[in-house]
Order: sequence, then C-alpha cells, then structure tokens
Amino acid sequence: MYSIDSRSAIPVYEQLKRQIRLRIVSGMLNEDEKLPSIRELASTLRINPNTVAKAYNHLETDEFVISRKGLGYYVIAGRKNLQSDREIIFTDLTDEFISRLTELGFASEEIVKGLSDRLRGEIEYDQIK
Amino acid sequence: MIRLSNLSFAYGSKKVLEDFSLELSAGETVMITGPNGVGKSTILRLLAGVLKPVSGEIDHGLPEGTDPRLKTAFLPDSLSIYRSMTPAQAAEFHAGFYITEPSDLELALKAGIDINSKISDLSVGQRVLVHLSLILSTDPELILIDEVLHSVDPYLRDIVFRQLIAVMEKRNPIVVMVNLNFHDIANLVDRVIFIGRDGIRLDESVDDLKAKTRRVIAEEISPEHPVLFIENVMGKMHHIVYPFDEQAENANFESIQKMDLTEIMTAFMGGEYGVS
Repeated sequence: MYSIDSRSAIPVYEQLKRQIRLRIVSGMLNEDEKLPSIRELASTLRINPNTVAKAYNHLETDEFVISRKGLGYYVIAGRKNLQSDREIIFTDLTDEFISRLTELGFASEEIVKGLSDRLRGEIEYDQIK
Repeated sequence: MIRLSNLSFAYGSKKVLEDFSLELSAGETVMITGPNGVGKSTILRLLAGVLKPVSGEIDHGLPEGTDPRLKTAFLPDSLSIYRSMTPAQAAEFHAGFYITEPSDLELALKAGIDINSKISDLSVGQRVLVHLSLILSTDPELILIDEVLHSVDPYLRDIVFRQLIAVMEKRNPIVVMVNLNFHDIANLVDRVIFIGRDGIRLDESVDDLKAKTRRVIAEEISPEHPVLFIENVMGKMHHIVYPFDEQAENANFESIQKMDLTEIMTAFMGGEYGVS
C-alpha cells in the first residue's frame, strides 16, 4: 500500500504522485488497472481528499492515468515512453534518497562522496567474485 | 466562499478581536492556530452564529434567506446540548430542528456507544462522538471543530477522522479546525492561519509554507534573511528562516534543511512566545 510521511517536507500530493508513478512505470500496476477511489485512498491514508484528487489530476495531465467519467481513474494503456520511464524511475528514487539524507543533515559533497565510495566498493566486490 | 469583514468582538470590556477579516474558499480545510487568548475559539463561534460580532459582517455565501446555522456543523470546546436525552432521542430531535433525516449514529455505534443510555452518563470522548454523529449527518457546508477532539482517545479519534474525510469527499465543505495537535491533522489541512496578538501573522497553503521555510545551520546569518527562531542544538546554531529566499540557497551555510509542518508551527509559536 501507499505510505505518506507526514514528517517529510515534500508535499503530500507529490509523495503520492511519485509512488503511483513508480508503480506504473515499474509494472506493479497494470495497464487498465483501476486506482483506488479518492475517498478510499484518502480514508486509508488519513489525508485530505483534495490532496488525492490533486495527485490524480497531475498523473492524468502527465498521461499516466486516465479518468473515466463516473468510474474513476485507470492506468493508461499503451504507454511507450520507455526511455523517459527509466529517467523517471531514476529521478524519483534519487530524489527520495537525497531528500532523506538532506533532512538528516548530510551536505551535498558528503552524499556525492559517500555514494561514489559505495559504488566503487560494490564494483570491486563484483570483480573479486 | 465565506467572507468575514472587519469583525470586532469583545466579552464585556475585554476586546478579543478587532477589525478581523478573512476569506474561506469552498472545499478548503483550514487550521487556525496561535497562542491562548487571541480569539481563535471566538472566530469559530462567530462563524457558527453562536456569537454576534460587535461590528463587521459575515457573509456565508448562501442563497438569500438561508439560515447559515442550518448549514453548519459546530463541535465547540464545551459540549452541553441534549444532556438529558439518549443519543437515539437526540438524533430525532436534532433531525427535526435541521429538517433532515435522523442521523444513523454510525460514528457512535462504531465506537461501541450504547445509544439508549443518557448522554450525561457518557464519557467526554463518547459525548464528542455522539455530537459529531449528529452534526455530520446534516450535510453541512461548513464544519467547525474546536480543540475538544483532544479528549477523544487516539483510536476513536481515528474513527472521527475517517468519517470526516468521507464527509469532506462527499460534500466538499469548508472545514475549520482550531487548536488541534499538528500531528493528527498535518495531512488533512491545506491552509494554515497563525494568529498573534496583533492579528493574522501567517496565512499560507501548507505546501507553500513548507517550500518557504528552511532550517539553516550556520554560526551567523546576515540580517537580510528573516529569522523566525534560533535553536541551539548541541552547540550549533540552527536558524529557522521564513520566508526563505531562493538566492540564499547559494549562501555559504553549513547546511540548509527543509522542515515539516509540525516543526514549522513549533518555530512560529516558539519564536514569538518562548514556548519550546
């Protein structure tokens, strides 16, 4: 299920939008799959229904979902932007990673250095194998 | 839309509000906060029509001849109504007054309240639930909630919020909450109004407020940055800056951090009133 971090500085609609988008581009949500109703999702997550509506509207504008009158929102069928999907996955995951570390007080240089150290570590480990 | 224009109010000779103006848009969920004695509860009572302003006007934006009180669900900070009735009797009585179907008392039943025992025999928390069952059933266009929700235990409070969300989704009312715990409602509210002794000091959407407030860690900070509050965290000076200038992103600070709503509101309270 989706989760909202109320301690995050990222707006709630943005958190929700990113999580749904990630599920769509990673295939966890199928084409034509129905999204939860606004009331259902707002009630489960204890967030304002307007916030869910805002996330859904943004996703519709960005052509990830489509609204069917009186029925609700569905994952759009026939998406073919695979290259931009990869970019979206990358941006969403790194944004979350960076904002969490920043909220914990890590500076940009520390994050870059730590990340490249980690990556080098992983590569060396692979080579040893 | 509801418009409060130049309201003044006094309890006897004690002025509580002076020349207070505010606009509320349809579908908006607003938190009003600030220190004690600045008139937050008075604003709710004026909106509810329980008090009349000494001067100024309230336009509820309803068709001519509609009594705004019939379109308003008010949960005040002290509950005294229908004490001698049972919840079931109160539902009938309330419906007659508001010319609507009697409440099914769903909220009270969900909370396991015996709807055939006298309201005066119920706990404060249970009374709040009964009261909410009644007022949320009247298809309100304006919902006003004062701090009494504190006296409801967390489990029941959660039931209340779920019910409130359902009503919000169905009716798109204006919701105004006063003095509630930020943690409980941080994700429900889309606008925050902070009232100080000299009137409204902050009126922002939650998203804008989060975007404009930063925790800056630095030895010193030049006076052009408006510092709300300074904290000494283990020997390091944390400056809460609002509104934060985009250009300041480039300044040579040790660190710049985003803040959540609770931290921001604590800084507003603490910065001005010395409460930590």
